[in-house]
Amino acid sequence: MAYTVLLVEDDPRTRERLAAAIAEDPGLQLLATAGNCAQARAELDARTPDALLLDLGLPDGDGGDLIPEALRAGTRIIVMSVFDSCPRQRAALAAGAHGCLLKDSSPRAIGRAVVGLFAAPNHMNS
Amino acid sequence: MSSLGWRSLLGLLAWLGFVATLVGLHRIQPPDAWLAGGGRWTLVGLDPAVLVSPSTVLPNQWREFAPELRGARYETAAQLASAPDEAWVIYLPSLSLNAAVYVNGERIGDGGSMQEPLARYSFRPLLFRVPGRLLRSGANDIAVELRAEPSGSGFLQQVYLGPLAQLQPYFDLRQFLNVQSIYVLIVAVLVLGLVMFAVWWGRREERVYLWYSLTMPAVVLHCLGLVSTGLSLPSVWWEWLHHVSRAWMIAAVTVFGLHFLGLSRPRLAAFLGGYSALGALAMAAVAIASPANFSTLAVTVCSALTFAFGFYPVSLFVRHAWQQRTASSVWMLTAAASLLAAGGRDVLMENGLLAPFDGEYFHYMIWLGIGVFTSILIARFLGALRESETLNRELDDRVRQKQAELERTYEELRRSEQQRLLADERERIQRDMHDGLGGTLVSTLAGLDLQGERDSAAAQSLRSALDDLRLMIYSLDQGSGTLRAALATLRERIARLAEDAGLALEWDMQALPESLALERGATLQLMRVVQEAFTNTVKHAGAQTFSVGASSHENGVRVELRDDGAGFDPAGVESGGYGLSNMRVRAQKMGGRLDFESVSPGTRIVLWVPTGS
Repeated sequence: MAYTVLLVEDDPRTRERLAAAIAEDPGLQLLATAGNCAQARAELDARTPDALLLDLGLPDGDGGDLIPEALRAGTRIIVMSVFDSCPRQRAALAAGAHGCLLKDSSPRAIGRAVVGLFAAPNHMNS
Repeated sequence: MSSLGWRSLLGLLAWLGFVATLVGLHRIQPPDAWLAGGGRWTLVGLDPAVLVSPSTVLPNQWREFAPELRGARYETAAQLASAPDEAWVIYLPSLSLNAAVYVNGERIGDGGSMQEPLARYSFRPLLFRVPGRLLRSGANDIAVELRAEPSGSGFLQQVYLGPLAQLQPYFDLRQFLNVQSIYVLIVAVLVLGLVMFAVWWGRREERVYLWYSLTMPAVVLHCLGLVSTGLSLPSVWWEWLHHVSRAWMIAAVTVFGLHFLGLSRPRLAAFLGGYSALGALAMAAVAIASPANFSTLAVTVCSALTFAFGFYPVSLFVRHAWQQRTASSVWMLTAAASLLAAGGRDVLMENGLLAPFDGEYFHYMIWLGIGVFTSILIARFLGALRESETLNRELDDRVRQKQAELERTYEELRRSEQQRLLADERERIQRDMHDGLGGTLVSTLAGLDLQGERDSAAAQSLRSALDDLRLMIYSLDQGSGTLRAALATLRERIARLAEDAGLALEWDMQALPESLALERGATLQLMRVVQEAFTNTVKHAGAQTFSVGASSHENGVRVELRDDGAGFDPAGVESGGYGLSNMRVRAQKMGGRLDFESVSPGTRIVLWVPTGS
């Protein structure tokens, strides 16, 4: 049984590449993608993914605002950024995100990160 | 025996030596050969002229034989073998009030007025030159006339007749002891009093200097009473001055002693002030109303009272010495007790209980007293100065410390402010990079990826640019971090990429001290070299393992980067192969060196970065 993933990323090409990487991974199932906060919120209202791959800098707001809602639904969250340990990333981890990932990570790394969420909770966080 | 004990013993010996010397000096007299008339005299009373004793031996206190007589005349005949060629003199070492001397019926000199008010020459030597040819071969009549106050003593110690050269030194010694030393004392006490008054004026809160300076006028008056002959004051007023000034001295010394010992007895001080003033007035009243009885009253009542009061300050110093047991307290007690003892001796003498020939001893002990108290006051003053200097120094030190602390705090504030600014700046750059350049790079890379051009030269350049951007931002953040911390961050990033590339990563930082830090730019360049070497290995080498080893040496850091891949083409390097020459430029920017060699299997790159200045 593959983990369902909701991908939130505003840049179309990056989103597409990440979506492809998730789709190719047999352990993951791409549930939906969103390009901004509003779409993401709508998706989260509609369904409950196992994991949320979340970009923080979205055109209509801070992706980090979605974290509490996702947490309530029991979704595990990985925040994505261009740089490691940037302030927004730290804020998201403090808000309850479970892990973080560079946006240019390889498909294998993405899969490892998501699966890792369930193997050992908060692994990336520690 | 303690060192204080030894010092006290030495002090006692010095004191005994001082007293013995004083008494001894008074005993120095010319040889008996020069005694006029062999010391045998006829004593005749004056006013009325009556024979008191046909055969008297000097020294003699004629008033003891004839208290009713106000004058006396001693007569003798001096036998000379021949008339002397040189200058001869008559020398009287000690006598009461005044004397007039006659040789062969001719008056050769006197010590001043022989009528009231009498010139006061008590205890003072007289030396008269015998005019030429007055002395003749055979018997020469010598006569000495003396006067006495109504109730005063009358005495003649000795009369010497001899050559000036023989007797002059004895006269000089006696003159020094009983006259000159007192004048010197008066001047010294005046100067000291003024100095102490000036000290008090400069330090009003230190009342001890004031009281010390106020004892001085009393001492001066007392001493003037001993030596002054110029003022024609009735005898009774001399007596008045003598006793009143001594009482004032005791009162002033008592108050000074109280202040000196830090004791507060305001009522006693007020009583002594009243006693000094009213006592003086009462004595003056007696002197005016009944001058005939004044001497008796003054000598018996006043000197007895004064002497009794003298015990009080001495008892203070006894207690102080007993409690403190310091050399200075013992010296103060010695000085005070000596003054009291000398005063007591003089009172006994004035009352006719001791022979009067030596004169007063009190003024000698004043030397001891002012010597001791002045040196202790000066020591105390210097001690206070030193203490205040020490305090000042300590204060300076504290101020300096506080200043340094403030500077440190300010420096810390400045540094933290700098760090805050740096963090703000870094955050701003990160945000800009994230939303701008970084996002664009990631997006472009993603596009290339989607087009299946993941490994194209363009994609590789972009990835390298992105890596570099990350290192720069890291270095902005970790500007003052250690080299190990920087490399650990890099390891985390490289480890992920190595795992993706199926490459084993060996990381050895054992020989790199924990605290070693390079200059910020150098750390960034070093991280770039490692990153680039790793990228090269992933791209070109087809290696199984990538290893990083760093070690610290005396004057530099050595970083060895190694893979077990295909090695490189030396020709490519010489013609400016992209990655390697780039790394070499970075090494040069750090002031270091980069060597690479093809090993079998793989490539080894050695980076040398100098440390220190």
